[in-house]
Amino acid sequence: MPTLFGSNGWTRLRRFVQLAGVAVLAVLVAACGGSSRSADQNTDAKSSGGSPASGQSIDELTVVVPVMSDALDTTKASVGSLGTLLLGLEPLMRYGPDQELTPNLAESFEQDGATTYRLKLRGGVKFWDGSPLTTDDVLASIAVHRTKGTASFIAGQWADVKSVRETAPDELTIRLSRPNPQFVYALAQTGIFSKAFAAKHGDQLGSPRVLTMGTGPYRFESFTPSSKAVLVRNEDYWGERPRVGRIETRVIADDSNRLLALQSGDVDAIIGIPLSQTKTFSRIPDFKVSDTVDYSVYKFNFELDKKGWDDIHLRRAFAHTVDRKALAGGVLGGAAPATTLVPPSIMEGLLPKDEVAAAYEQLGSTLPAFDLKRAKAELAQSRTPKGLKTTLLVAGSDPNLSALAQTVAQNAKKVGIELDIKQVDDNTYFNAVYFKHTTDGLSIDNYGSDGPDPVNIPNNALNSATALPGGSGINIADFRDRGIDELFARGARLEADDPARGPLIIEALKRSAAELPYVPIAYPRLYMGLKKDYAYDGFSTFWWLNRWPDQIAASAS
Amino acid sequence: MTFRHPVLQFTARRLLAAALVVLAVSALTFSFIHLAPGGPEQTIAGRFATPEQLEGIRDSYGLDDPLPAQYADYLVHAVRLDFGNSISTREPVVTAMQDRLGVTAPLILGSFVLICILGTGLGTLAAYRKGSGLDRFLVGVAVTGASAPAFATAIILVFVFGVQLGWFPTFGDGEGLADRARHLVLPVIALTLVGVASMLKITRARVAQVLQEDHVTFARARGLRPSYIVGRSVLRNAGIQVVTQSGVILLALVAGGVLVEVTFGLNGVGALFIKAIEARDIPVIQAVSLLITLFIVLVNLAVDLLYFALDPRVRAQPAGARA
Amino acid sequence: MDITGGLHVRGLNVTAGEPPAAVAIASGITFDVRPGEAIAIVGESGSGKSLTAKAVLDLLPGNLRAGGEIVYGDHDLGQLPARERRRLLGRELALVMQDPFTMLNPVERVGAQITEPLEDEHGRRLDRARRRQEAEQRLREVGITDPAVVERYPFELSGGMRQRVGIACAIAQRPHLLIADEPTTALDVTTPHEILELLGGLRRTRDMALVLITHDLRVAFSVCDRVYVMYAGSVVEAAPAGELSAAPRHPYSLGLLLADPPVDRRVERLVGILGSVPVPGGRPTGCPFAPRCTFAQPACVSALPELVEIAPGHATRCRRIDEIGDELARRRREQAASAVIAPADVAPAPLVAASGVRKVFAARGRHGLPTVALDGVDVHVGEGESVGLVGESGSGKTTLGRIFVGLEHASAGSVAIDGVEVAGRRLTRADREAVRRTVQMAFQDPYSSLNPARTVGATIAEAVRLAGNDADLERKVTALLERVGLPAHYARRRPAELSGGERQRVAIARSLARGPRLVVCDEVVSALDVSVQAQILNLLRDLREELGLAYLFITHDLAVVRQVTDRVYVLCRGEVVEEGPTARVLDDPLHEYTQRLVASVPGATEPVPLLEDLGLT
Repeated sequence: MPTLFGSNGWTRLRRFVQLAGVAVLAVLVAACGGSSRSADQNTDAKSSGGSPASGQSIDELTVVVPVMSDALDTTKASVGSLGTLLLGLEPLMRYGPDQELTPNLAESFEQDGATTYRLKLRGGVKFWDGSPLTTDDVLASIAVHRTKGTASFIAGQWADVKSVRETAPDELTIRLSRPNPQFVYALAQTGIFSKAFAAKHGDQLGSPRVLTMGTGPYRFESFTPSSKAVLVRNEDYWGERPRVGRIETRVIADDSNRLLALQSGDVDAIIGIPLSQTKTFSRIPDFKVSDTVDYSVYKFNFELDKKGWDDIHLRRAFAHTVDRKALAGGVLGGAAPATTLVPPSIMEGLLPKDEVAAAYEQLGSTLPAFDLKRAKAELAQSRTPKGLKTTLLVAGSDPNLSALAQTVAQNAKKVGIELDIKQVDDNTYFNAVYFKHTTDGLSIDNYGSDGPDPVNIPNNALNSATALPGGSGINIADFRDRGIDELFARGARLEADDPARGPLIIEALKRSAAELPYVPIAYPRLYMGLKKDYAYDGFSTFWWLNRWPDQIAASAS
Repeated sequence: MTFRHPVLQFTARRLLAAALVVLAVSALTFSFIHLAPGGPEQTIAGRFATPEQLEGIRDSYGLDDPLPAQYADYLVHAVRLDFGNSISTREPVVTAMQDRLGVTAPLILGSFVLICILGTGLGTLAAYRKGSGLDRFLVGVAVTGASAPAFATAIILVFVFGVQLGWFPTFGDGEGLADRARHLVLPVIALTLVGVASMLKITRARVAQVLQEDHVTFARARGLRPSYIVGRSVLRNAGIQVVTQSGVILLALVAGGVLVEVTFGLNGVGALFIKAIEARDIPVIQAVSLLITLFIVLVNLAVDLLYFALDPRVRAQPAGARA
Repeated sequence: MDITGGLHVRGLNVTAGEPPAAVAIASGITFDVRPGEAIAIVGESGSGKSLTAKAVLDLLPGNLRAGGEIVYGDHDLGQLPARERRRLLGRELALVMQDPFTMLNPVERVGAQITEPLEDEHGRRLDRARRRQEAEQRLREVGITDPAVVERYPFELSGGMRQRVGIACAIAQRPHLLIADEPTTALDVTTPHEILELLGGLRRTRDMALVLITHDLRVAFSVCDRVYVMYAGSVVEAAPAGELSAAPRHPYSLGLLLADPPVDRRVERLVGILGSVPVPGGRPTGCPFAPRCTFAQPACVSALPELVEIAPGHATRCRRIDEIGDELARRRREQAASAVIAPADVAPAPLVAASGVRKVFAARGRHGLPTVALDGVDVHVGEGESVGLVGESGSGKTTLGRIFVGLEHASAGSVAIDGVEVAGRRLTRADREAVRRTVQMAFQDPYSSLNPARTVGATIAEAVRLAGNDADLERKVTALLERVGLPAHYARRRPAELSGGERQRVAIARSLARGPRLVVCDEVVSALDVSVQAQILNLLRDLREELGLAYLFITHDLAVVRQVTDRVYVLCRGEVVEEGPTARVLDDPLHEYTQRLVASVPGATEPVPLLEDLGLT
């Protein structure tokens, strides 16, 4: 059924506008490249306050971020949008650039056995309005993700929690129904707000005229849903004095406008440069672009119960048509070809480098290589020896999906698998691919982890608990394997940093690879750009869990 | 009909028709939204929502109630100007629209006023100097402005005045009156450039046509003041088509404004509408489409009334009965 | 200002376009208007008379330029700054335009239009009450006594009323010279007379000079003291009105006089002028009239002759006037004295007959009322008979014509076409064919009824084919063209390449293609210049004689009716008010309406003066 809103058309129109705009811009940049504003002009009043001598404090920082939530509310933010929210609504534990969790609003944190966590609340912390932080506030802030029928984006992270209780003054005890080493990251993603403030504003909490009430180093001054937030330094912050006086984070949806904003010098930093634009951004004078590995993977997904795709031969035939190296290097501009669902560098958090390398080499060898002859041979063995025609949905919000699909389609056609690529709006795409599994059996997505743990993506993609109908559907393949479920369960019983978890994950990945529920394509990189006057220490794919403004410093030049 | 005056009679009739149109459009939008695939529940719960979660949300928003019941409920609230809260941003829809109108209204009305002043002024000038270099220049500039896509105009404007000269901000809508105004300068210019050509061309064509008409020659032959000739003879007669065109332009600006808002990263009603459609944010879609419908209906009514004011021949017609 | 000098125009040129490619519209125009005097500038369309008037007032459209000398009183208008020149407009020199329907600002009330330029003693705008008072006063001066007209918009008034309002506007500032450009052409039958009387009256009471621009010599003679005849951009003759009428001294003037059908009697043959008026840019060198002149000699085409005064106040631009003067006078005399022929007094067999015909047009719009176009009309046309249908616009005459050819259907009554009853029932195919074979129609504007994309030959051939006769098409087309006096090679031309008269001939040829017995001629000559009109009227007479055609001649022009019809019906508001032999109805009208019609023809009451009467022989 066609979309009645024409949002489909809108997406296409916007895409066209962006492409055309960038084209126009490229000409302009080429024509006037040399005459762009000089470094002196860039160092205007805004940023010049941050001289190295003055304790590296920065007066004002404008940062373009990839996403922002619809409301300043902890239930309506996950991943990138937490990057703004967690600056105001602090978490109990802070995930640092050193990849360590440190107590934050919690003063101490300890794990007692596989399923019990004990937290001591930091004393003397005050909300921006001066009222003290109490365990009631923390309980209320956790409850919103756990109540029945909650609409919280991160409800899944709290799903294994059985109870949260105040077991002593200022002490909370959290019990899990089953072991889950990833749970600690929920504490780093859950912002704490004032219970009284929330009660007062009811369902309008976090809306532009109400804002929110937290204890964080930065206080919200204004907010435009999914577009812009202004935060100012909390002068009464309990911890180390926040480094930046005023932070404006904003989303600029339009490619060319984003580029112009950067060029004008009005923006100090950008996190998440679109892959197609990294080269253009790196040409902006007095601006430097850097990148880091992204904990995400581009992959093709097979719905294993769909006619045709339930045949391993068809899946293998298709996998043979995917030229990962070319796609990673070409379309994704310098990403690493993927051999499995997790980037090796993430895996290195649990295992030594050489063990990871060995395991990945083996994983790579089981993955069908790009080979059209073998693709044909596999297809001939399948129940659809003459090939088939299938619709492949791509979302307009990520142009790479379409580009990857187009490239693969050319090769697939040669062996007889015809891909009818249809660009749809995000809502339709998410519905078909993630929520309802209503594609023809083949889909493509870029799945990013919502937490730093290496098991995050494998568990989400392969555990039968995340398959439909009972789970969230992120297990797109609806892959079910008791043995693999058991591997995950065993790993979950171990402590988060227990290296023994590594082989278990590797084993799960290897075993599933034989069934080929997914064809990993590439691990994209995450790009960040910054004025040369600044340095960003410890930028990582999990920047949004960090207190990232305090990692930015005026560089001593 | 109790109204004797033809204009009152006409207005009453048109208002009645307008009310019906608004009602019909609201019913249509309502059913379209609910028939479209995908509901707001995913927006509310996010990517990792479980089926139970989604079910709960549908239930709490009454999305599974029979459509007529939902529509009746909507109407009852809408009459009291209560459009509920946005599903995605939680703001009361009325508040959200008020805030967004703070960007969109000055953008569209500002461009409209500029288009009217520049379009009619320069159009008249061009008509008086038809065939001259000035005429060719004005028409050329206007046509170029209109044929360039709005985003291209926008980018060039931002590049020149934002990046190169640094006079105006390159994105966003600013805070406070002065800052907002500064942020709106380039968008207003971009939107004006899109619309001004059409105004200029119709004015130029009509004025040139009227200048050829006997009554203008006759007015000149009588030695009437040039100001009278331009104002009463030429523009008043040309005005009828120009007013019609201005209505069309104003409505086109609403559509063009959406594009400009997106391109300039302005948080106006258009951006709100697009976001709402993508998120299936039903209360916002309903309210904004109602607002747009009302606007269209009112603009058309205003055009018709201006017609009455300008042309006595039209005024005489509804009274009818002239053989 | 000294206005005793009047207006003197010397060597006025009007050109279109820029010099190398400039086209002359009018050249070397010279005329004088003494204070209080009335002169006429007479010429057919394309003579440049209207643009000459506009040039005098500095009102030329942007693409036209004027040169020469215009002196008004003690001012050389060419030397005056534009501002000063504009100050003279309305105050000293005024203009009334041809079309009362377009001359007034459609969106301004009548009162406001009249009083707009008025100022009080201190040069300030009048107050509201004064303006109202002045407006009513000015309207009374032009014969409008209803003060409510002040509040009216032009569209609420009739054409005659609008023309009066236009005149009131023009003379609001008491100018001393009024230029009236075809002030009566667009008006209905009975009104021109009233307007001319008004202009004549104003001229006398205001001591205002009048320049009347017209194509109609009769109008000129009835109002003006002196007449300038213009042809193809030049003044070819200038003479006192009586002298010109009696003894024209230029072949073109004579041609105009001879071509003009007399209203008071039927002449054997009208004398048209061969060919048609050349368009600007296509004018011959030498005497512009030479190609159409029967007196032309090789010398005539070499150079433009001078305008030479041959008698006091009488000048001509003919180099042969000394040789041909007597011949011109003889021809003029001959026509004036030509035998009055009585129409055949026979009672022919009836061909078409309408009796008790009523036609009601449905209401337009929600509040409109149904219009009764015809009400109980009895009209019949006999075999080979020529019948006139006379009336003002809106009288229903065209509707009746359309009923006869089946383009409209009578709401009630009986219409019999060659014995076939066509009213009140569905026609069979055969009946329809029979009607079409019997009756055909020719329209006023052949340009809009001919397909501009098709050649003349194709248009006529199609009509022949429709008659069910495909054999030998080309020969039949040629025969039809020749029948209407066009050479065979015209079959290859398109309507745009033809003159107005030629197009009307094609339209007539087309209507003849089916061999009809009756042709309904709807104002077929009213859009034509007088010299061409005579040719077409002659053609129609010839066709009738040769083919035994019957005509139903719809027209508002009584002179035309006199020349081509045997019997006439006078229609007024959908009813026949008088009927009878043409000569009787025109000479001795019984109905009050017919009397008004007859009285309104300019010059009808004054017989053409002959030279003898003027004592000039």
